Amino acid sequence: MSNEEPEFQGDELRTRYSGMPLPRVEKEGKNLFTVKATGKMLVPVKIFSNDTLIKQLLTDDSLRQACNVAALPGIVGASIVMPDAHQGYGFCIGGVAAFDPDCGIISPGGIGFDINCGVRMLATNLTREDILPRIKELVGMLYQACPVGTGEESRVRLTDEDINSIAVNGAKWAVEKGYGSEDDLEHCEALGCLPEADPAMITQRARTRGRGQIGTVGAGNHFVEVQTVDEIYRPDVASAFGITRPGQVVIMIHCGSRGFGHQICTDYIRSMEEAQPELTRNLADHNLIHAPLGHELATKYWGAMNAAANFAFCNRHILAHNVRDVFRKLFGDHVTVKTVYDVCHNIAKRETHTVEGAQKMVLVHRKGATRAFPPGHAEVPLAYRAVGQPVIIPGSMGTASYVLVGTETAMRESFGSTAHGAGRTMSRLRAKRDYPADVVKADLDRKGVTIKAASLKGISEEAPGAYKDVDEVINVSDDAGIAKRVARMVPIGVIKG
Amino acid sequence: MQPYELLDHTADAKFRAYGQTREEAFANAVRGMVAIVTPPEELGDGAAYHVSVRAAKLESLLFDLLDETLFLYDTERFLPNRAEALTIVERDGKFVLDATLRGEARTKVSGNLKAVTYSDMICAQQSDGTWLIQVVIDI
Repeated sequence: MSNEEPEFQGDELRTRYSGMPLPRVEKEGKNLFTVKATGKMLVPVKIFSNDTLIKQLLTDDSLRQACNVAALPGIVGASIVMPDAHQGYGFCIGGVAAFDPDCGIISPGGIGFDINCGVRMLATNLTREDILPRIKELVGMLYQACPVGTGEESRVRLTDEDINSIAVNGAKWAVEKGYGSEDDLEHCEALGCLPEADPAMITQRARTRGRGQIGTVGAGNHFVEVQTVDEIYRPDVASAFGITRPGQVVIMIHCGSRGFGHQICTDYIRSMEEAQPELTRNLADHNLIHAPLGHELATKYWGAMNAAANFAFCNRHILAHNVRDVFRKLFGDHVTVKTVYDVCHNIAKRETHTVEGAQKMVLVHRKGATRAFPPGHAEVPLAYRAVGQPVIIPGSMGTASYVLVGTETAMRESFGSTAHGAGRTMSRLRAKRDYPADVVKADLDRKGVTIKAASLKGISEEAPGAYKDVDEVINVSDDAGIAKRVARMVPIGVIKG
Repeated sequence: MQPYELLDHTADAKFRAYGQTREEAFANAVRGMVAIVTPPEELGDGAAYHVSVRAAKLESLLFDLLDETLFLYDTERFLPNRAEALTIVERDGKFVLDATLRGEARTKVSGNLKAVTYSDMICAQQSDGTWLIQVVIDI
């Protein structure tokens, strides 16, 4: 990490990457920092952060990336950076960028390779005392039921027809096959299915990669985590979400569209650049490749991206069904496992927001950011409409996770968005050096967390020390008002790749 | 010169590959990417896949070669320990690469290679005539 301790009133900041001075970061408030639009930037950069997290932010390439995004055609309002942001490719991870539907663009890098990486949260009627005596058995059974790790094949082999159907129907496909229920769908972002998927736009390579991966978790920072409620901050909201008491057992499933989504992103990055050599040559960063909205490639990618998003919704739905099955098998028929909510972290959505005083439809890219819609919004499930949309923010393995609620402030200030997680601070290489798996495991043991992982490397790389402090990230979200904390959860069992 | 080395990168995996010729650097790039998951030397030798990619630019050619390798890992669980007989020619205004990836089929090695990126990519001849490749892989 850098030795620099930058001040934020008017000093110029340099990153070790570009070697060129970046525009100034000005502190506007306790949780808001901005970079004025200069040079090629069309809008300012708006950073939700605090004095602690901003220092970490400035040690990697995130700020330069946010400035590059601010220069993309048709960007509206601001290039937004979340408190957990860290550098990505083209766009930083932990960012929001909204575009005008007529003169704006769509960029695969602004959504991410793992299209609709997201989290589904389930709430049970069990307590810590109910499950602790059988936690090892529970973790073992979950490990069997939810394939983790790379190359882990699904039990379900998909035909082309299946893939087309999943692409169009998302989690509804799974319900029709007997997984979960309609009730689960009602408690999902977009009801678990985005309407504008086009199976014809799915590339052949994506089909091949996705064929054997439905109902699998994957590796890296993906996991299934059993948690208990540690603290409830807003009991009325928590209660509406089905979170009723400290010690209550909940589950979070964090994964996305697997190889299917990754290949779609890869293939469209390549076709966008092959089709626009002039644009590609002039990009500040290759990963900013995009297509103008209305251009044939933009439309094709939109159709494919929505298909991948639906694959991910379906994926989490199947995994949730399997989790529910395990709990009922182990603890009895009286056990209920209800879907609290399912959110996307990597997605683009057509949404109506207030831009310069008027309601306007814009294309919102969220990469490592979560939608946080307010009470009263039509897209918030009826059961939650009075309180607002649940926002699920998992911490890194072995640290706390949170559920928050969306706000009007978010609609005004961040295109209805907030952070998505803890964000990494250290490379996997360094984490492997600094956090040997046996040390991490022992540490988790001490904290009362039972873990089952497909690889030791996975444990090292995902050590809590390699991530930002999630509590700080939540503080910023709450203090800035873009999503208010509702409850805090701590892990008791983790399965991962 | 070392064939490849892994570098620090916050969220993803970054490596460099070196070669006296561009073909050698490309071949070492395959090994560099595999090294993210496991030392290529530790992989078996029982399987081989021929790859053929074409692209307008050298960086895209590199991208496609690595994407092809990653695709084989994700779909066939094949991991190469090396790329053999790698040739790069120019044909009809495009670069064409052919190579044989030799390595382990149905590998039990668990690791994450999600996608090739263009982030911080370098694919260029250096002033001393050798070739330097640098790639960030999404993991």
